[in-house]
Amino acid sequence: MTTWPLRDRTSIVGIGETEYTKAGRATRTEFELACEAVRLAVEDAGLALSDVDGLSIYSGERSEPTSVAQTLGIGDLRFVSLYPGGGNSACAVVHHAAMAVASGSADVVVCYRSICQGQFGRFGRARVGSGTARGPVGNSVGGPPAFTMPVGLMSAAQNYALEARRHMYEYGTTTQHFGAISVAAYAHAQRNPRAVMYGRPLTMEDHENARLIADPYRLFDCCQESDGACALVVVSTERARDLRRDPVSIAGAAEGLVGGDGGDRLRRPRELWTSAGLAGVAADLYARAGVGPKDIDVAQLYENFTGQVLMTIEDFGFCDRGEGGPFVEGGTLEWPNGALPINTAGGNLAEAYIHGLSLVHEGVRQLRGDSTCQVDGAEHCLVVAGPSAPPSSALVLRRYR
Amino acid sequence: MPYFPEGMPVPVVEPLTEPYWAAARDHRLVIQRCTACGTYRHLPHSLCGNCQSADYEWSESAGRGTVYTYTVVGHPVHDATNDVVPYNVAIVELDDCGRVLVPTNIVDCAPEAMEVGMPVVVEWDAITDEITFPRFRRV
Repeated sequence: MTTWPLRDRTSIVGIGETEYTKAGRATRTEFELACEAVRLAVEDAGLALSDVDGLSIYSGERSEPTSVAQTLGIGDLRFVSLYPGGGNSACAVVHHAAMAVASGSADVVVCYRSICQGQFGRFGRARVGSGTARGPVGNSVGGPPAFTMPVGLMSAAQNYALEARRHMYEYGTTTQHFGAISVAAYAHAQRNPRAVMYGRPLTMEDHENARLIADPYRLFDCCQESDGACALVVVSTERARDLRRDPVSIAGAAEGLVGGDGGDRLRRPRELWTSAGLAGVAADLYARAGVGPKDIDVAQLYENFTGQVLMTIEDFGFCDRGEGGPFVEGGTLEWPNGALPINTAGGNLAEAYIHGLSLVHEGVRQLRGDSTCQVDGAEHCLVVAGPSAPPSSALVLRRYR
Repeated sequence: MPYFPEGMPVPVVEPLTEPYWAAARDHRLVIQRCTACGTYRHLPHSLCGNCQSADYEWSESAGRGTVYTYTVVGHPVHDATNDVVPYNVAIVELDDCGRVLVPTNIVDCAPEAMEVGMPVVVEWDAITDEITFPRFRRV
């Protein structure tokens, strides 16, 4: 097989984040936060806003690229990309930025996400549609929701709980296995003053006794609802060498779905009920980056819900199918001693839910040596976007050398 | 008495689903079946996902199946469910319609009695004059 032509050709050279808060606590508008995150990312790179010529965003982004560009004084835009879905896009937007830069269609591409659930409706309430484009449920429902809403199947947690229960049935997975993912994220957040759950440690007992959301999921199995924005800058690795910060190389990027997966979850092939649907993305990603699971020093794995993280761990080959439960026992996921520290800033569960893009930022910090849970000598960080939410995406980031 | 209180979203009868709801009013569970390749499908779609044919029939099921997976909802996300939590949601695999899965609820079943693999049979729930909805009961 020929080497993926984009391997290490592009790099992330700047990251920017606003303050992260609980949903409803932002003191500025979602749009203002978007502009601040983009500005901070470009400053971090040592570039000027007028250098930016590309924007890569995902579906439901309410801070329109035209308005952001105009407000910030970004100059001529040569590339704008919009990926479908929601949290599944968090790595795909970086993939698209890398493709644009490597192909010469743009020189400096900024990926951003701004999300204030306190200003635009919470994801945890009953809604129809997808991503941030969803709306409230009316008294009557047509299309596919005509068959799901009237049974009370109305939220993401409820839908993903069905998969978690099936995984438990087929493989003997327990709620404590799910809890290991929450406990690790909260432990890491205690070292990250920017995390919303900083100062709020979590024990396995807390996890098991929390209020029921949708069995088997309890409160701490579910991602937070947050307000905040983040952005990052992609340029060619050649150009990156002359910039302010050590670049973090995009060793591999992949996106897509397994055939048969799709919008209608009831029609998926049976094996996808107990998987994150990411096996194809994982195979492409490792081949493109020229690494395998054993080379991954640290991982940022999108938590919509903890069971889906367990399935992501299986899809990416850290253990065999169905062995995710035993794999996470005994602190495997916890920094500094675990074999696979995940979500080292606290992740979507305990840092903030910025629709997953903030996980890429923590990947960059790990490879710059800037994490508050720094993995010694980390060379490769795996970042995976929303599991069981096709088409999803993933990155292998590599330390500059 | 309906499974959920008033205020739950009620299905709209649409051209694609009119035969489904008409059969449901007669207490018959019908599932789309492609007449070109024989593949069953649910939820209703205009095209077959296997062979893309637009030709289909509504095939009657005996309404028996097993619980493929389930959840018990403890946190209400819609005001109409505020007073009925915890309630269950089940995905039922029908015995006689290929690999079709049906989202539904299991009536008269306590949360702790829910089980994957449990055999169930359809039971009809008249929500409005127009809409009768399939729930299931343990057998």
